[in-house]
Amino acid sequence: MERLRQMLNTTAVRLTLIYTLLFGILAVGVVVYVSYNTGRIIISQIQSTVDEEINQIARNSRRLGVRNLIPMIERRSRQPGANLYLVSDASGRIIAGNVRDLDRKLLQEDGWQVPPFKYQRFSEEDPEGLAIAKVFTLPGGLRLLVGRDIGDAERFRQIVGRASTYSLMVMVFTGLLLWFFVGRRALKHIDSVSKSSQQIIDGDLSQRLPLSGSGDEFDRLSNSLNALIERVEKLNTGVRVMSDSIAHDLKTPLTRLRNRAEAALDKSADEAVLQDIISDADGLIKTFNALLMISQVETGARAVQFDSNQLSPILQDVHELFEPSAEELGIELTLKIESQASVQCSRELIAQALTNLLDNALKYGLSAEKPKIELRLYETSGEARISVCDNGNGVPGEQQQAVTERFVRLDASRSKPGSGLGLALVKAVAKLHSGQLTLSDNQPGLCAEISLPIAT
Amino acid sequence: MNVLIVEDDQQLAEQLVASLRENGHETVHVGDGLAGEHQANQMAYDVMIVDRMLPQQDGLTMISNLRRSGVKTPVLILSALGQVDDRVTGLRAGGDDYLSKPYAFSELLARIEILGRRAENQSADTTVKIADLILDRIGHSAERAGQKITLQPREYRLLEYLMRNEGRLVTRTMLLEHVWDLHFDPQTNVIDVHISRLRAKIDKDFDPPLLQTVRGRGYRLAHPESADE
Repeated sequence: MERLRQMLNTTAVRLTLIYTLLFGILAVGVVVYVSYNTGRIIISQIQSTVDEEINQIARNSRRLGVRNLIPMIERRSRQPGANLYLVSDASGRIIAGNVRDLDRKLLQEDGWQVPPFKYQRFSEEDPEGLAIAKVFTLPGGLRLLVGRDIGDAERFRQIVGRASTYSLMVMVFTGLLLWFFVGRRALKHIDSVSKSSQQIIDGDLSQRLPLSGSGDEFDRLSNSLNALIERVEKLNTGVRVMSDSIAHDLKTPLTRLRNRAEAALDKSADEAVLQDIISDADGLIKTFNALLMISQVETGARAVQFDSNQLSPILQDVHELFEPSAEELGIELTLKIESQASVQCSRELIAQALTNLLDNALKYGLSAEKPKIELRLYETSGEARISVCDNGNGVPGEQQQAVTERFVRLDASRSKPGSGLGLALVKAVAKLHSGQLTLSDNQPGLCAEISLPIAT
Repeated sequence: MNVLIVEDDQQLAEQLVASLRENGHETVHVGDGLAGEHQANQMAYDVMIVDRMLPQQDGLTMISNLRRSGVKTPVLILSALGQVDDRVTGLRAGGDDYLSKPYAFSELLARIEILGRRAENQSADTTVKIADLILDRIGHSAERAGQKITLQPREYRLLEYLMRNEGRLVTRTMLLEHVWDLHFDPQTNVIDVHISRLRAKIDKDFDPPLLQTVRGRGYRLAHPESADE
């Protein structure tokens, strides 16, 4: 019952019903119109035939006299398929013709008796029939009635009427059938979509809405929704992976912090242990700050103020900041400025991104025999590009995407200090500036390149 | 120093009060922006520590109101927001320094000590002297025990900042801010290398060493005997 109510409630059903109703009314209209007109045409044909005959009879009676009229009528009456003829005297007594009986009142007035009347013929086989007739007063007070049976026209009307009733019934039945199948199909589709949606709501984001494969409007809708779900799933996975990594990456320093605090308690505060505790806590704060910074950069384009800045002074500052460290480590750090381009940017963020890149290069470029780092600014096709290239171990091609995610570190670098957040921030900064971060193989080593659109 | 703390987080405020007292500062604590404005108008403080988000009236409004009514007390703004531009808007509203949560207490202490004594440091003296180290602010050079020391421009700015804040702890973040004009947390030891280069120039061949490392916190430039910690 509930199912039926649902089916009645679908758009398909409502449309089917409306169409059936409209077509029904139209069809009935056409049938009524056709049968009415057909009837009228038949009757007017009968009328003109009868008129013609009366004229003929009138002419004959004038020429030959009323006396010869009776035999003429009798003769005509006996012809096969004859019209109705009746001659009566002024009192209404039937004198001649092939009509045995009819309503006598009809004879009292001249002219057409259009509403069909009942009559009885003389021949036995003929039952009572319907006819229309014209009454005519002959000289001498005789009345002549000439008419024609309209049974054929009536029968025709009945056939048409029956045919249209049948076809109407077929139409309604087809409509109902159509409604049933279309409605059921739509409902079935919607039911399966609702079922999948419920599973998705319950947390199974790997579910997708079913497609019928016909490419119809339902499929198109399901397709867009599937794309939406996929995006949500991706974001959700991202959040989960990140919170897992945060939990994982912070567990070690927190445990260490706790153990050191415990040790400090035992030895009544050895200063070195306390210093270690502070630096552990500082490390944690740094990680949190970096995480906060990344998410702020990723989401908060609104709050960061961009100015038109020439890039070369920023590079010079960062180079100058790192130069002593590189020298200390025996790394040859070179600065190549090949562009004086200005870009709309936040000096702070660009500087921080470069700091992260150089920091990485110092850490991972060391493995080379003659470690070299090149910090370079150049222009190409409307973009300013800043590259930091080292000749260290580099990052294998298949990992280059991954290392720009939060907390992703190469296994080989896990032993080195660092939070695994550096490149994630660089990527976020590049994105915020409508640019991008590209990692490539420097053979050997890694090239990290930030491209930024040049201000116009 | 007299420190006014305007902070609505009770726990954090209590911790701040206790730690500042331990370091020899007087503190007054209020919990909302209106009370803070009232207090600051009533009494002369050396430094104010103001949280950005406060009940009644937010920190920035409070600071700009105070500045309009002529209160010049240096303000350190604390904030949980901590984005680059928050700092800019904070300073524009009349704050003097900006620190985002979570912060290390030593960082906060170093900053308010420098803020509180800033007035004394605005001297137009052309030379600054610590022990036998003399900084020439016109020639951008230095000499120690009568020997001329050649400094790179950045080294000069580093030394000048350290000397202006004689005897006080200066954190790496503060150095990056004031010497390089970069406002972020240096994740690396780049600053340390600059310091050790400077140290090689001003301390290596001389006695006593003036540039001290405060482990886990930062640096301090002072005559060893005059160091109070």
